[in-house]
Amino acid sequence: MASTTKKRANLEKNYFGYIFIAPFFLTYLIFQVVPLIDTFRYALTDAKAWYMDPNQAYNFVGLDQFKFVVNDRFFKDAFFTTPVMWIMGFIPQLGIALLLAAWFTNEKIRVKGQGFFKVVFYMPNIMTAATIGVLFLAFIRSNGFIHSFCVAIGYIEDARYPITSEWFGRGIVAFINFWMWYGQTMIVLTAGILGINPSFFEAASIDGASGFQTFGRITLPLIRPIMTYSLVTSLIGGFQMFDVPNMLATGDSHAAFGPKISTIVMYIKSIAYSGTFSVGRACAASVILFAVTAVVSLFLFWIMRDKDAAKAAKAAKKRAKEQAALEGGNI
Amino acid sequence: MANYSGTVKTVKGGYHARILLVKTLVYIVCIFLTILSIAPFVIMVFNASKSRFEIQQGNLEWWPELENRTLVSLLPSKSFIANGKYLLTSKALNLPFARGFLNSFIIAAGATILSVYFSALTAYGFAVYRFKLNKLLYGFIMMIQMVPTQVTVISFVEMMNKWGLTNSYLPFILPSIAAPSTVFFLRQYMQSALSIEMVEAGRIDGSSEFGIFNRLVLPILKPGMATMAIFAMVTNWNNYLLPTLLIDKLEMSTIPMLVGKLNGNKYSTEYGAVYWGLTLTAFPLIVFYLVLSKYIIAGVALGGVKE
Repeated sequence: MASTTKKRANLEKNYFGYIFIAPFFLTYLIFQVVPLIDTFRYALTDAKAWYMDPNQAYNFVGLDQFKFVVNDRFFKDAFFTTPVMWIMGFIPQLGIALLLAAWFTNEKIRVKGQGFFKVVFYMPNIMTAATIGVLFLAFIRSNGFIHSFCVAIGYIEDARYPITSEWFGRGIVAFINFWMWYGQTMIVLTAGILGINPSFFEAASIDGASGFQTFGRITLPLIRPIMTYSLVTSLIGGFQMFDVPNMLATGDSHAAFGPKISTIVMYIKSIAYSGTFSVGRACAASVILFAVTAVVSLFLFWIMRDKDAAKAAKAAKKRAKEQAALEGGNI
Repeated sequence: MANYSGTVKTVKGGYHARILLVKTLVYIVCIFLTILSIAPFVIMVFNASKSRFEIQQGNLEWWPELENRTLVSLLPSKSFIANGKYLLTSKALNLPFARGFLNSFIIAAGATILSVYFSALTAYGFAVYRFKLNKLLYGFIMMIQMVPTQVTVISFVEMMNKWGLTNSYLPFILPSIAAPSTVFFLRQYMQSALSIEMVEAGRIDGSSEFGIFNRLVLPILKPGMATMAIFAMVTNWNNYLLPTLLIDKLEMSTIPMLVGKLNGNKYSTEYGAVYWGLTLTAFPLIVFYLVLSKYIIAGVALGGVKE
C-alpha cells in the first residue's frame, strides 16, 4: 500500500521533468533550430545581408545559389583545401597520440613525469586560436622564426623573399592543428586504454603475446569506439576550421599563399559579408557543409563500427524480443 | 639450480637492455614534444622584448653565412617595457586591451554561469523524472552534439541583426543555456554522484522540486560543474568568429578580436609590439591553465569535452 502511494506521488511529480528541461529546449529552438531552418530557407533565395537590404525583399530562386556555389572557383578551392589540411594534421595527431598513449600505459616502460608531459602537451589546446594564428604568421613573415629557418636551410634563397608556396601554407595550418590537438587526443586515448579490463592484458601475457601483439589484438580493438569518437569530432571541427587559417590568410601581405589556404567557413563568411553580400549563396554553401559533414561522419561511423559487436547486439535484441513475446504470451 | 638461475639472468639482462633502449627513445620523443609545445610561446615572450630592428634581423642569426650577427638573437633583449608602452599607449595602435579583457570576461563568465546552471538543471530533469519523452529527448541531445555549429552562423547573425542585437553581448551569452555536451557530461556525472533516495528524502522533508535541486543537488554536483565551467570559460573566452560578425565598436571588442586587429597592416612594422600583445593575451590563459591543469587534464580524460 505504502509503496503504491509513493509510486503515485513520483508519477505526479514526473511532469516536473518537462519543466526542468524546458529552458534548454526553448533556447535550442530559438538559437539553433530556427537559424538552421533559416539556413535551408535562405539557400533557396537571393537574400542579401540584412544591413544591405533591411526590407528583406528577396525572391525564391530554386537551386540557383547551389549551382553558383558549386561552380565557384573559390568554393571549389576551399572545399579541396579544408579536408586536405584536416587530414594532413589529423594523421600525425592520431599517430603520435596513439604512440604516446601506448607508451604511457605500458607497465614495463613506466614513463616517469607523465603528469608533467600531459600538462605540457595539452597546453596549446587551451590557447586562443586567434592568438596562435597571429603568432605563427609572425613566425612566417620575413625574418620571423620559421622564415629565418627556411632561409638557413636553403628552402628560401634570399632572406628578402617571403614564403609563397601554397603547400607550405597548408602545411603550417595542418601543423598548428596537429600541435593544438595531439595532447588532447593522447589524454583521451590514454584514459581509454586505462579503462580496459586488466584481465585481458593478463591473459595475453600468460599466452605469451608480445607487446605489439597485445597492442594490435587487444588494445586497438577495445579503444576503437574512443578512436571513432576522436576521429568524427576532429572531422567535424576540421570542416569548420576558421580562426587559424583566417589569421594566416589575411591581414599581412607577406603571407603570399593567403587565398590558397581559405577554408569553407572563410568562404561562407566572405560571400555573406563582403562583395555581393549574398546571404543566399552563403547559406547554400552552409547547407553543403552540413550535408557533407553528416554524410562523411556517418560513413566513418559505419566503417569504424565493430562488426562482431553489431551482430551480437542484433542477436541479443532478437532474443530479448522473443523472450518478451514468450512472457507476454504467458500472461 | 645454479645453472637455471644463470640463464634466467642472461635472458633478463637482454630484456632489461631492450626496455632501457625503449625508455630512452620514449624520453627523447617526450622531451622533443615538450620543446615543440613550449617553444612558440618562449619565442613569443622573447621577441616581445626586442626592438623592431632586432626582430628584423631575424631569429636564427648564428648561421655561419651571416657572420656579423650575434648568437643571442633567440634570447630576450631590452625593449620589453618600451614595446609594452608602445602597444598600450600609442595613438597609432589605440587598441583598448583593458576593456577587451573586461568584455571577454563578461561574455565568458555570463555564458559559463548560464551553461553550467541550466545544463545541470536539464541533466537533473532527465536523471530523476520518468516522463514519457525522456529517452527520445535525451537521444536528441546526444545527437545534436554532432551538429556543426558554424553551419548556422550566417542565419544566426542575420537573426540577431534583425532583432537589433548587434553590439550586444546577449547573442554570445544567452544561447549558452543550451549546451548539449555539458548536459551529457553532467548526466553521466549524476549517475555516480546522485542517489534517488536523497531526492526522496528531500520530498519527505517537504521541499519543493526546485528547492531540492537548488539546495540539495547543486552542492553535490559542484565538482562536475566546476570541470565543465573551466571548459565553458575557455571556449567562450576564445570565441572569435561570431563576435567579429556582430560587434563593430572597438571599445566593445573581445580579446580575440583585438588579436585579430594586431594582424592588420597598420601595425605590422612594430613586430615587437605585436609579440607583446600576443604575450599579453596568452598570459592570463597560461596562468589559468597552470593553476587548474590538474582538473583540466582530468576533465579531458573523462571525455566530456568536445570543441
